[in-house]
Amino acid sequence: MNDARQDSLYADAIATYGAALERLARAYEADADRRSDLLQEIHIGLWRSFASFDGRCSMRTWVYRVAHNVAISQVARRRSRAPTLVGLEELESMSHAIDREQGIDDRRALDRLMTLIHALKPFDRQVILLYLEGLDAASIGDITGFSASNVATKVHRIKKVLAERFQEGHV
Amino acid sequence: MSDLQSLWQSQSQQEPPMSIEEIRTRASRLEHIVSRRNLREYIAGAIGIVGFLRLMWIGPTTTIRVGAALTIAGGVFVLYLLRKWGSANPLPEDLGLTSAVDFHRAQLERQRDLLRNVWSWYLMPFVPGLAVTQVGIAMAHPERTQRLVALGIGVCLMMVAVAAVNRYGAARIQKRIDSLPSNP
Repeated sequence: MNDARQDSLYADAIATYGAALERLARAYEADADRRSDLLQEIHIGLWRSFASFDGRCSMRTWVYRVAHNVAISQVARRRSRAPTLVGLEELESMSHAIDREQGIDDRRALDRLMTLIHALKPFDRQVILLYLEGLDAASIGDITGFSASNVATKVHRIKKVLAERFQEGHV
Repeated sequence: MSDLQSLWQSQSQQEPPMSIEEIRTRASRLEHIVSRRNLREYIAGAIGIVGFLRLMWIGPTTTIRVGAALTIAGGVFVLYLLRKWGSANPLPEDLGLTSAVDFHRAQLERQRDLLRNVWSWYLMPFVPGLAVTQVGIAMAHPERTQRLVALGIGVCLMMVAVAAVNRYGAARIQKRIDSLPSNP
């Protein structure tokens, strides 16, 4: 593939998914410097990856795969120093202990959502992020490698946890 | 779309986008870092080889010279394998071809195999050369045999320890592999 096509694909991807990639970096890294480093790594990985993009999957699937693969590699490199992370199942069982609040403002809701995401194990984090980006179960499966039924179960749990913690419909 | 999805997606882009030129510069910087890391590996290997190269030229007997040559060959072979398996690019071009679980599993399996098989690819290649050199020295200087046997046992124990530590590391990685989603 020539450089111009690689550059053009990258520019298209960033125009469409630039903001989503930044949200993804925020969800993986709470620290501002690490977040910035991760975002740069994702951009470089994405640009490099377009040298081998052959259209066998959609641009969206490609972009999210690259971004999540880079992010999960970064998380794995720092695994030994990471705090204990929980899975969706554990989060679901912990939900009842959380104080419910009606009508919390957007900023606080986002902060709480981000805290919840940061506490999740990487693969559950991927699913909740892709769900929040509005992807359907099949697309989430393509990106993460989970089966459709596994994704459906996880999304069901995510919805339940979010509903309990955020009083969905009242944020 | 739920309220939380809308709220999540309403977060705007705050970091200024990088230009293509900036991306190219950073990508080439990354490649430069990988190249320098590889070069450091070669230099470290070369330093070890130089001693045996000298022994290969000035060794007092043929057996010692053959032993030194075999050790050098083993060292070059290990460097080749390190280059082939150990110096993976942190951002390979095929990042978009693999799903997250498969990508992560493949990375962990690669690390596990490198550690688990350290005996065969990292230690064994040195054994023939070191053994022949020791025998050569013992033949040339029979009075040193006892010391050489002790040295040989020490080297063997060290190799066993290195292999054991790496197998322990491989077992820890295997636990991480086992904890990956089993029915993706």
